[in-house]
Amino acid sequence: MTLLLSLLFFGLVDRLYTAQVKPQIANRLLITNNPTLTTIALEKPFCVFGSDSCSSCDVYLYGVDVASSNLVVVDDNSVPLNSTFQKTNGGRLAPYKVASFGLPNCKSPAFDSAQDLAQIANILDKYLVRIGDNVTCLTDPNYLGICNSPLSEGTSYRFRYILVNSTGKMADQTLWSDSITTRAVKDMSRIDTWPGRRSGGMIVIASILSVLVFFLLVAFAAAVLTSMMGESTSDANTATYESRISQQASSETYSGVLRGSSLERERYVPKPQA
Amino acid sequence: MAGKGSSGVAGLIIFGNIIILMAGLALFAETIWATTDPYKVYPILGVTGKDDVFAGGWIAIFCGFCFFLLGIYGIVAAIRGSQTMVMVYLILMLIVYIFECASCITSFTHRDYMVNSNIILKQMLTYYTDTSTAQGKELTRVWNRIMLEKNCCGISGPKDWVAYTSTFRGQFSEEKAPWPFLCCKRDSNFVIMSEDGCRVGHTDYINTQGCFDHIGHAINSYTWGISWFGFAILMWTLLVMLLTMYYYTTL
Repeated sequence: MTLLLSLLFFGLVDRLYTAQVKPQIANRLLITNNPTLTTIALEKPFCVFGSDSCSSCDVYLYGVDVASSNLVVVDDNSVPLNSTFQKTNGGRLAPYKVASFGLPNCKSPAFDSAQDLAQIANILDKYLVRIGDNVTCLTDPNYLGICNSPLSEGTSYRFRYILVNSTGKMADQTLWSDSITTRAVKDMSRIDTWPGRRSGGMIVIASILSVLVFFLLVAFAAAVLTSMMGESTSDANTATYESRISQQASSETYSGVLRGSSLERERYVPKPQA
Repeated sequence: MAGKGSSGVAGLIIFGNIIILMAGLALFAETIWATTDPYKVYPILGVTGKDDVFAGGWIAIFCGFCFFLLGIYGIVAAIRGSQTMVMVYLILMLIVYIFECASCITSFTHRDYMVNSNIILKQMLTYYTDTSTAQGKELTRVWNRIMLEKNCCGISGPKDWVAYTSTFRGQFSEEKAPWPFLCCKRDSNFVIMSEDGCRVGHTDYINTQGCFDHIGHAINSYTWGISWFGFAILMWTLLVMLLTMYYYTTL
């Protein structure tokens, strides 16, 4: 009796626990590009449905556009609906069946072997379910399985796992997930290529160099002018000096003085040559 | 000599010109290094229709060599104390000075244009895998090489390829190849480690860092060599020229 009670109790706890679980999007640190434009990677429901006891059970994944008001995934007899992507207009009208897979067992994921190259595809397949993975099934007339065709971009979806037992009836289910929005693509022609604010270095170089060139030109002009004015005044000096020399040369009294100022004359002679 | 170009000023000018000629030679060598483009990013700049960073480099090659020659000439002119020679020196130096200013400003402005905007991203999306144009082929080669050699992906990471429409996306659907497989991590033989892991973006199998660091570093290296070194030389040359102008008035 106690055994029966405890089983019931644990079963209830189990049920309560399951009822609060939502499907989770795959860890973004592991899978960098998620969600993409047309795909969403979800973690598979590990240990969510209790135990490994239900070995022949399957898990169905249903997805629905958040705009849909119809969220029914099972009929009155708890038999899961066989709604497809095409019939529900890509989940806009009602939930559609995205995928089905065996109930994952409850072992701790062996992430160490994720380094093994031969196993990576297998491991990803084991732990993740990628919605929107099948590009061709919509257009392939011979395709009979569940069509997991690409989602619409920039659209929000919700997902729910349900556990189906061997009699084909729903045994358990998770909550609907939080809404997950596929990425919207931006048009490359609308990328703004305006560089915005100029960098400090460019302003410093451009402004300082412009000002310096201006100063240099002004200084050059000033140097030339000064030099020309200096030249003309010294020319005038030379002329007066020479006329004075001729005056003095004519006067024999000052001839001695003239010889004495020969040093001074040397100072003026190279000037006109330069 | 008193009053006519004092030997002290001439000595300073000679010293200044020795610095100018050495710095000019260094600028010459440095800008040859920049224009030979050891990082091989020229096509990324060239495809935008402007290559002003390199144009600045080519002007600076000319200016560097001119500074070298004019430095020697300036020393001779200062020793001879000839007014005509100093005048010729000043005029030539002014011309080279203005050219070198143009080189510095052009180079740095274009660096801003490339590095501070999204233009490299846009051109990558536009031209990568575009085989119909010459620019497309050239840029595809450049990007393939950079991504393979530098183990990087896109400008800021693999997300660039999925966030925007692109020529690449027009050719490959997102389910098959969300990004070029050159973004995938490779072993030492350049074989992709795991195509599936790379396709879903598993961080162990994809290079998550972008290539902008590499490209930005290359452009910045060239520009700082051309612009800032040129700027420093111009600062020094300014002082020497002002001194030479003063010297000229005393001759």
